[in-house]
Amino acid sequence: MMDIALGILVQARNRAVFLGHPLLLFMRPTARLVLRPPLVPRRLQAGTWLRTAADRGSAYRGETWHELDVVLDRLLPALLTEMMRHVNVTDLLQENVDVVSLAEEVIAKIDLPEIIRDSTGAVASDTLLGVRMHSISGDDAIARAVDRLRLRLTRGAVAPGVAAPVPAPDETVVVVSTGTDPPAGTR
Amino acid sequence: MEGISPVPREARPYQGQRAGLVTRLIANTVDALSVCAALLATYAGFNALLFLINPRDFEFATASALLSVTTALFALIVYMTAAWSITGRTYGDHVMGLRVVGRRGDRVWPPTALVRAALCVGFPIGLLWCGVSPSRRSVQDFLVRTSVIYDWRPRRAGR
Repeated sequence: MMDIALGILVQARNRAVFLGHPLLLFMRPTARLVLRPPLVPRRLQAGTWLRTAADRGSAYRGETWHELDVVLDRLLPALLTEMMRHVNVTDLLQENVDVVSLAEEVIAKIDLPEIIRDSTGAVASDTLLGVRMHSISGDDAIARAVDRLRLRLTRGAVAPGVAAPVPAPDETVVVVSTGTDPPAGTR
Repeated sequence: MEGISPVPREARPYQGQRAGLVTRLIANTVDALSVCAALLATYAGFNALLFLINPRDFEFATASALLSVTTALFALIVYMTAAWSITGRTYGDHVMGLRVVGRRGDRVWPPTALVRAALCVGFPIGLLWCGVSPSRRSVQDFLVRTSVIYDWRPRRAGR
């Protein structure tokens, strides 16, 4: 439904652009002729009047914004202070926001423990971290070596028994094919 | 959300796993050295006291080798029992980020800690079994059903 509406809108827009283009081609010189008519002194041209009005409006807008800024600078702090007197923001936050979860999430994101470790006793903790990580690597290395040794010993022990049993000469072996061909048969 | 982990990023994959031979050997060495240092300090303090009491006839206190070794082993057993049953870690374990836990990963009870400490002191070579055991448990661990895990957190989980 949404796609249909969007399709119709896009089509309408394209049609408007298609129709509006020649209109614009006609309007532009006309507007130029109206705003800047030839043989009329520049100060009496409509374009000059419009430009003057626009400049005046722009200046007025600037002044108004400035005055509004001054008023808001005085009014808003007083208004907010008055509002804060009636509203307990801390209670509101505690009631509506899970502050603890939020704080934990933020701390987890910025990895606060890492920052604390970096900023306090960095040399000692780095040394300790290095020793611990090296010892863990040593543990893993020993475990790997023992695993390899165990595997080798297991293979060595299993090797004589691993050989596939040889069927007896008169034993029937059924060969099952996994393809589309029928079973190869028996021998 | 499970909270903030004080464990460094690189150590987090190992957190809670059973520790291997190298780490445990280093931790035990640190413990042995700590107890030796404590005993030496006690001996020095005792002699200083003797000197203060009677400086004129002062002589260093002497003890037989058997008594010294027995005292050291006894002190080691007491120290390990207390440490494992209270915090789950001795100073050496603390340095290396290890913790001794019970069968279900819980606290080691004082009797278990005592037996374990006695076994560790009386049969220290049993530690080497954790190097070849797939479950990384020493002979003492098998006998008293304990485990030594990597635990870099300052406190036990759930406390």
